[in-house]
Amino acid sequence: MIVRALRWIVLLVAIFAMNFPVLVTLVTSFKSARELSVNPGFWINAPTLENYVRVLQVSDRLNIFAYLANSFAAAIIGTGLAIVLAFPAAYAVARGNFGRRTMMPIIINLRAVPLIIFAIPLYMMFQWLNLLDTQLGLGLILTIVNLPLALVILVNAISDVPIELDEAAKIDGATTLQIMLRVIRPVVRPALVTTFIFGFITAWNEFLFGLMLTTNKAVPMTVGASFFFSASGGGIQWGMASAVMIVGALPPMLLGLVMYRQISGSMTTGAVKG
Amino acid sequence: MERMRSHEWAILTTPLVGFLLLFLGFPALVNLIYSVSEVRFETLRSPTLSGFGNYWAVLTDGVFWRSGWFSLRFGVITAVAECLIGLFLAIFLAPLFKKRSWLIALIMLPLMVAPAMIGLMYRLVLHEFVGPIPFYLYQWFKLTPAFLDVGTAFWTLTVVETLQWTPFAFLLFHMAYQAIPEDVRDAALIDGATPWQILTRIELPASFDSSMDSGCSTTFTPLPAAEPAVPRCHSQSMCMKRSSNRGQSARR
Repeated sequence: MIVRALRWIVLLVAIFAMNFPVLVTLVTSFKSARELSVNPGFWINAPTLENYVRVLQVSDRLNIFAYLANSFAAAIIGTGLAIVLAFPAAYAVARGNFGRRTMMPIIINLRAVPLIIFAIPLYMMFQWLNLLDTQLGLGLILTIVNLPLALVILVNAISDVPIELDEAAKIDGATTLQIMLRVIRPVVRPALVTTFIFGFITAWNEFLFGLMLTTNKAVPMTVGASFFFSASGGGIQWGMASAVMIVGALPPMLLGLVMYRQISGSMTTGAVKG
Repeated sequence: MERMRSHEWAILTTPLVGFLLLFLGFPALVNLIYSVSEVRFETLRSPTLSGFGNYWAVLTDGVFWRSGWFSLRFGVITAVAECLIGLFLAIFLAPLFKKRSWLIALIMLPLMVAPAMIGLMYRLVLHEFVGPIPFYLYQWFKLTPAFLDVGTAFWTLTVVETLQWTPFAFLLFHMAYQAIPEDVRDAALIDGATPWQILTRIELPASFDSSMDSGCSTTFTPLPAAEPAVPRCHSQSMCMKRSSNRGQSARR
């Protein structure tokens, strides 16, 4: 009984400690600037939606809807393209052992490389290709970020599908492309969904390349949020800054809460099994 | 026939390889050329080869070694802390998660928020005028610590990073722990093993692979959450970022 109670206490402390910054930001977002200056604690004396109203107002300089739309578009491109590129390659690796010794390790190890080392050449390259400050440009970079995990999840998922399915389809006269798209793809659909969810969250949360490669038209939410910090001049408006952080963090958090089983499963597939 | 099959596999991997060669191969080549060239912002398109002097300049630069040491120390300490806390939580709380798996979602929540955003949130949490931690420390203990000061930045960063990424280590350990068959534990109990022996001889070794992976992943994650929280930190990635901001990378 005591151990059980202790377990609950440890759990609650862990949840509170790990989510502490999010909780503080949420509380602060409902405080007026006046209240915040005298009451930085957890209690809200006079809750207000004033910060959210100000954040959602569109002005010449700040447009949260545009930042959200940019993040959404870039994340869709970055995740969709990663799946389109990784799926055929994963099929070749899983079924033909093609590239398992060289290509796979190189791509997986991209996760360990800080991509900032490519910052200057990428910036120049994007300038030549007219991809600076575009949703497509940002999406292409997010594809690179998403590729390692997409490849690992899909290779493992395809490896788990019995080879007899491929053989039966081949006897029926299906080509490799038909087997991949009509036999394997429906079977590994859960892994594709998992890859999409995880990729979308990763892409939505990317900051560095958003900061580097966008200036005005394609600014993503993570970068746009930082604009609100200096929106009014003369110091940070913490209430408004908190509201924008909550709005920006909401989509991936909701997705994570709803799909936590798939996400934890993908981590196991990608990290433990891989 | 086998040769033809191999041809098909090559075609299937070509889009991925081509994409990576274009978007990473080219920048890597440019980086290599710049590293042995004299290049400034104005001469980015026409660098002059200058030998290995840039490498020598970096290797004899005290800032490089200081930032490298910072990153190494930071990476090792946070990775060990995250693994230990994650392992403890995964094992100690396992009975709770067995019946209520949705509780895992609450621990996973910080992983869903952008590290940059978490960093900004910590700037609020630790802010001396509007942050609740300095506020309560003063209210309750009359303490006024400067969390974002040069002297304390390292440990502030370490705690922030550990809190942000422990859920990741926890998840890996949790999955590894769940994957151990109950039969193995039952057999050990029948053989008279104590809970401590089951933990140290069965459960921990079985989770070893994931602990290695978790440790490596977190060690090589270059300060994603912590950097925006403490602008004065001096990690290797910040060093690179600042260098490129100043245009020094182009010269070196």
